[in-house]
This record gives sequence, structure tokens and C-alpha cells, in this order.
Amino acid sequence: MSALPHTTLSAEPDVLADPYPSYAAVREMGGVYRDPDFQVYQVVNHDLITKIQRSTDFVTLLATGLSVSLYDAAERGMSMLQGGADEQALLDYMVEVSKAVEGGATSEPVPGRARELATAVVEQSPAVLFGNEGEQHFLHRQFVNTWFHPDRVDELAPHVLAITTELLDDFLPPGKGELLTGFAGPLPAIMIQDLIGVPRTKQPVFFNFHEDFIGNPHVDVQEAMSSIAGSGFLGFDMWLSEAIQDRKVNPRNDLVTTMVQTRYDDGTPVPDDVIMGILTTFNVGGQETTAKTMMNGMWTMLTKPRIQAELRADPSLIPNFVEETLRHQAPVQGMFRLSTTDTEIAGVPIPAGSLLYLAFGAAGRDPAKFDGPDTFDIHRAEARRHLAFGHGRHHCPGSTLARLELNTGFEQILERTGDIRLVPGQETLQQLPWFSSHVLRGIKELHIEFDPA
Amino acid sequence: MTLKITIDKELCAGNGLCYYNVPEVFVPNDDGTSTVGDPAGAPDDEIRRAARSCPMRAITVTEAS
Repeated sequence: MSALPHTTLSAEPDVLADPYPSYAAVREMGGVYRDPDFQVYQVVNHDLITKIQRSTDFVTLLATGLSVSLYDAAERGMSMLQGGADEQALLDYMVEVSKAVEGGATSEPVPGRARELATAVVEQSPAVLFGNEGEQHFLHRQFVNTWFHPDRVDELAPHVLAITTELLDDFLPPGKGELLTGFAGPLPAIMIQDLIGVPRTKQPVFFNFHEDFIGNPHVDVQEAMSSIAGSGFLGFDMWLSEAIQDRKVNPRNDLVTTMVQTRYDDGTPVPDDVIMGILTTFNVGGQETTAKTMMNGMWTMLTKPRIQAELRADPSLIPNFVEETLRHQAPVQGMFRLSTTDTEIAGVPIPAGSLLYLAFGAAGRDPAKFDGPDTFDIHRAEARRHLAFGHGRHHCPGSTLARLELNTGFEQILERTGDIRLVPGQETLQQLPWFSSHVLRGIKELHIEFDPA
Repeated sequence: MTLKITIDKELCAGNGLCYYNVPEVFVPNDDGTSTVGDPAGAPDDEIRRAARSCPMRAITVTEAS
């Protein structure tokens, strides 16, 4: 018997730098592997991940976005289901675990103000989209789908271009720079915050694309909540809470106003906590995922000079280059699901209450779906069939906007430079600094040099 | 003229924009993916807009010959 795979769940640096051999090992074992260290089933096959995400036997769990109490969540979920908990009890449990994890309630008290803020925030942020299921989820999902309807996103193109232009006006003149903080991060962060309605002066305080928090099993929740309390996630929640009240009397052209004015079919307004939940999700989901995709794509392009030459010669190849980046180096490597019933996947019995990790990054490298999956090919016809945005009812609602931002970002930086190069010493995956997350995968810093156009 | 509507069953991620907006034509399956019910159930321009609304570009609309 071969050695057991060292999965990405451990978030060991060498596995995060190149997780693909570990996925291949799981694939060899049939595609489903229960990681004994975390009691989580890792699923790596494209078809299995698709099937699971379409099934209502598997639900999302908000707490696992933070991934700190996997053991605890799995054990408690199991015992509840064995005790015959109904659907509502399970949903309540999911919210409760989320609160416990986010608020640090299961650990020592967070000192002073941070704890106060954390408590206030979690009380206002129940699971709304990710972490919610059923009819209520579908209803809220349709609000969001309307905002990011492709027709609407087409109208946002000049806005994305304006932000891109503004950032490159500052980033390019020195002839060198760090990509995440100079361009890849701020582009999606400013865009989503402009849409939500955050004033430009406040936006940098709420930038979260540089946070190494989500899906990082090494993080100390109390410490993280304290350190970010004044500047990041909690600060945004405080701003949003005030903005919701403000927009009720001072409507503006932003998503806070849109949500405040939205009515359910029976005419009732959307509760403030639901607005908080939806827009907080967008503030996080709209920043770091797109930023990581641009980082991963840029690194790939710069380590393969032929790709840069081809994209310069024919910019119409950029959208498929972006799809290939999503397939080959997914920014969200995987997400968790909780099984609500005794079932089996590919012959492996999955008891009710089990946690599963669906490895989207592995699905993009599945040889059953993609020919020569480890080869980065900007001409690959089926590149778009990756699962980087997930699948099913929790498929990324911002995918159309993300694609617009990535296409515009690459088009503009290529158009406005003559040549882009890596600063030496960043040529291999192992040389790069990676975020310590088993949910997100991205390069923390990338130093590049460029010639004027 | 009736349009020919096809849905790529694998690409369809179940976002639900099509059957939420044009339920006369698009019908949800139990797993949330979409299927075509009555292809003549709505005006052509509404059907074309629904196809364009698909984030996965899983819906193809052509003139039936």
C-alpha cells in the first residue's frame, strides 16, 4: 500500500505551494479520501464534485469558511443527525457554529473592544447565502443574480476600465512594483466597494485581499479577530451597519440602497441582518478571489514568455487565458460541505454529519475531463469547464464581474507595457510566498518589472 | 417561429436566472439545473435575454429550421 496522501487540509507550506501531486494521490485511490487528521473527506474528481454540489444531501456551512473547528463541527453535526435532528435544527446548528467560531466564543475571551465588536457583528450576520439553503437561499440568490446579470455587468465595463486606468497610472511609471498591493488587489477591491457604496476615502481600511485569515487552520481566532477589529472585516461591518440606516433616508446609487429598497413578494422589506450578510459576503468574496487569480495568472504568464508574446500579438486570447488560469491555478482550491444523510460517493460510505472538502483546484486537473490537465494551454477549447467558481446553487454569483475585471486588468497592463518580467528568484512555485489557506490559493507577493509601451 | 433552445447539461451550474426570469420556458430540475419546457412559451426576445443571462453560457438559442 502506498503512503497516505498529505492533503491540503493541513495547509503545510510545501503542499500549498504545489497541491496537485496530493490531489493526484487521492485520485489514484478512487477520488474520495478521508483525511484522518481532520476527519474530512477530500473529493477530487470533476464529476463527483459536480454531483455533490447539485445534491441537496450536502449543505454549506458558514463556519468552515474559517476552518478552525473542523473536528468540533464534524462531531457535533454527526451527533445531531444521529439524534434525528430536523432540517431547521441543523440550520440553527450551522448558524450557531458559525457564531461560535467567528466570535471566538469557544475559546478564552477576546480582550476588550474586539470581543464586543465581534459579538455585535456575528449577531447581525446570520448565514444568508453561503451557509443557507432551501427556498430562502434561492430567494436571496435571485436578488444577487439580478445585480450581476451579464447585461448589468456589461454596463459596468467603463467603470472597471476607469479604475484600471487610474491604478496603472500610479503603478507603471516606476518601471517595477509589487503586483498584489499595486494592482491585482485594489482593482477588484475598489470595484466591489464602489458598487456597495463605500466612500473611496474609507475603502483602503476595508481592503482584505492581503488578509491571510480565511481557511487558514494555523490562525488563532481570538488573535485574528483582535488584530483585524479596527481595520478590516469588523470595521466594514460597522460602516455597513450605519450605511443601511443612512440609505433608508438618504438613498444613493449603490447596492446598500438597492437592498434597502428591495421587497419580498409579499411586500416586506429585507431585514437589516440579511442585508449585512449579503453585502459582507460580497466585500470578502469580491476582493481576494479575483486578486489571487490575477496573481496566479501573471506568474504563469511571466514564467512562460511565449504566452506573453501570444497575448500581446492577439489580445482576443485573453479571456481564454483567464479561463485557463482559473482551471490550472484555481484561486479557491476547495470548499466544505456537510452531509445531511447517510450516503456514499464513488463507493465510499459517507455517514450523515460528515464534512467534505470539494477540491475545485483538483477538478481543473482531472484527466477524465481535461486532456493533459497539467499543461497550461491558452488555446484549450474546454478551459471554461473548470469548477473554480464552484457549481450548483452556491456557484459564485460574481463570476461575470470577476471575468470582466480579470480580462480588463490583463488587457490594460499588456497594452500599456512593452514587456513584463519577473524579478529573479520567483521562478518556481516553491520560491513564492503563498497564503496559508486550504480554501484560497494565491501568491502573497509578486515583484515584477516592465518596460514602457 | 419557434426557437431551438439547447442547454449544456454539464456546464449548467444551476444559478437559476433562466427559470426565475422566464419560467414559461425554462424549468428547474430537482438538482437545480435547468431544462427546456415549452420552447414557444415566451416571446423570442425574452428567451434570448434569458440565454444571455446565463453566467455559464450554457444556453444556446438558434432559429429552428
